[in-house]
Amino acid sequence: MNVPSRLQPFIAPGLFIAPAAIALILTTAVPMVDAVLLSLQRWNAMTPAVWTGFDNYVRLAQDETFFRALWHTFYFTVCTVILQTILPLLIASLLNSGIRGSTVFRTLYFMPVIISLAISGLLWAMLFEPNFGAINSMLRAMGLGAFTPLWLAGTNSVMPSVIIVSAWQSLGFYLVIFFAALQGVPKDLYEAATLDGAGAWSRFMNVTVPTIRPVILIVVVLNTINGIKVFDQIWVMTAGGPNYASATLGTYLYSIAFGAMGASNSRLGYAAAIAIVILVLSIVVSLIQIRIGRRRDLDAQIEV
Amino acid sequence: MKRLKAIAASAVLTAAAFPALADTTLHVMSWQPAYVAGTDYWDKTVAGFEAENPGVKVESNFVAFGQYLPTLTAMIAAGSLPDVFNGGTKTGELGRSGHLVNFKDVYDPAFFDQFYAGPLRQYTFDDKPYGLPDMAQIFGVFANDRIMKEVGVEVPNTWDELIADVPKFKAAGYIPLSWGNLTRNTCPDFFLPLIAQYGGDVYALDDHTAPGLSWDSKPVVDALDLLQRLSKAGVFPDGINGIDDPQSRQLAYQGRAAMYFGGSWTPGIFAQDGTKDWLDNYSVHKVPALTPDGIHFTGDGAGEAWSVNADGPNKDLALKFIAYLYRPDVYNWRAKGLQSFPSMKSAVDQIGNPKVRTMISWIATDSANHILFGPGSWDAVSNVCQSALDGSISPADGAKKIEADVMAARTN
Repeated sequence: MNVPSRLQPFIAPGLFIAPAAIALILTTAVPMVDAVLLSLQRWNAMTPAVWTGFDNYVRLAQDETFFRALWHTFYFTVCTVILQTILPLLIASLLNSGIRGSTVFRTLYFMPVIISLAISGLLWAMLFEPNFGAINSMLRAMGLGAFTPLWLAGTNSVMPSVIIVSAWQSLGFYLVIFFAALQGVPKDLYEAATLDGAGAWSRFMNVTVPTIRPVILIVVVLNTINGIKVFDQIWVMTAGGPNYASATLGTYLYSIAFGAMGASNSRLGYAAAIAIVILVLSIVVSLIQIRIGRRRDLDAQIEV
Repeated sequence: MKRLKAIAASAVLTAAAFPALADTTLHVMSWQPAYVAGTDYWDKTVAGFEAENPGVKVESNFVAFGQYLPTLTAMIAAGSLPDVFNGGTKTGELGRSGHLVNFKDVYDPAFFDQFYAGPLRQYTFDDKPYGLPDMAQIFGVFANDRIMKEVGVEVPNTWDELIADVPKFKAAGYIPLSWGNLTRNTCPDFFLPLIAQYGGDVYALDDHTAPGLSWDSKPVVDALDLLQRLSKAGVFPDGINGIDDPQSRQLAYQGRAAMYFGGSWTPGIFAQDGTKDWLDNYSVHKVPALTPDGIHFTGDGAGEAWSVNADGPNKDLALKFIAYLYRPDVYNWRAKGLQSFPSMKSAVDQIGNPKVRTMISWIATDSANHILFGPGSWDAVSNVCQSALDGSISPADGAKKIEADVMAARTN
């Protein structure tokens, strides 16, 4: 078979790319298209699916619990992005400043990272238990019985409690990333800034932060993605409760799709519609972040 | 030569006549920890069946409760249901859509007479039993007699008595009645029998086909009102929607709660992990009634049933396995091992725990439905139950919401 000469340069690269491309199409593109089609149907997995067009999306727009889950996802994402970026950065800077025992502290901070989410979730659920948990028992012993929150059992306290655990669990991971980045900041920049009369805070804001900005952006992106898709930690600790007060898009999707916790009715089409909304949200947020990142790079180039 | 040919022909015929038994694996799936390979009575049960059916291997697949329904849903969607399995709250819909064997087509009426009526009724839909109850259950109140004596109160006979006693419990530093609703499936256990106490029919509500019958009817509103009054009065632990069942049991074990709401399977759990104080002092009582001479309707039925895949390649063998599982001698092994409320009347003698036997005696007079199978019913009720407990919805609005959510689920 004669291949036109203009196509010949593409044959070898095409053959190399083909296996990965086929695998990607089969494992990602096909299920994605399938999910989009499923979101346009009503299906409980037991009886044949019924085509309903955009009915699932119309119902979603009227679903109060969905909007609560959307709000909780947003709340969790914003809080964790802020906490899980600033705290590790500050602590990494402190450890990088040459304080004694920084290796020990780094190890201690990193330890929660190696504990599985399921285990740490269960441990924290026990600590937070409002009636006999260690935290409230300690508060009572200190004479602070009037200030014992319901923690995971309270509709107002559950999200902050979950966020605290998330920050505790991930601190070490982001700390290591920042610590590695800080090692690469030239010492003479700090010396020059000191000679110019810059204090510790000024050196941090004007030397450290601009120098490691690409790493900060990566941490922000990672935290954002983890926030939007948060599921396992919340599922283990609260199952989205009490009364959906910690339901996120992930936990709501799961309970709709699989009829968790004794539910009798799986609504796979509706769940697929939620999944598509999560996908669209993730794409939009990622595009915004990429756009912001590019603009800052451009600004930096102009400044140079 | 002739003899050799005859032997060869006979071997071929034998192989052709029993192909299924040559190397058949029967897939059994359950979420019940008691039915894990390695458990004495389950191993004995399986070994007995395999011995009676040479060439058959029973493969027991245990999936933890939290993951069971998602796993089952995935299997249904993929068309790969096991041969014999626990259908859970999906039993009704699976049966109605033709995926399960209607046992009435297979077994004679005498077979069904062996079961207690309530547990069997629970897995019968449109007069077709799609599931056979494994262990039965009935709910009650477990009281710490030491604490009750210290507080100076009797186990309440009515809900009003319980509400009236709350200040005494609180003054002594005790939670009156402990249970947890984190997993959202305990509140319906508590709440649905209250509907029966107010004259409602939970089976009919779940079925939702009777003209004029709806979830926003008066018995449901009254039951939600009582649930909310109990919660507001401080009968239950703080943050009940965020406490799970083991945690609520710990409240009883640690002497923080005077009473614990649980089912007939819990004495078995108490024996495994209860404190000495609890084990030495606990007694069992019917849940309170509305009036001193009222019926103490409480949840009965079966937490799980065995069903057979109607489309499975081993349907006949699966039915044989079911018949074997419910053969009185075989069932007795399990009942004796589990020491829980048996669904077969003949196994009651195997239960040595006097508290469980006391609870079994209530089934004839005080039983009420507490599990929902209709599309959307369980979610609708458990969601509103949580809201009633935390006071975020009024009883009338809650009843309307259940009705609206059930209708929405059945048209979506």
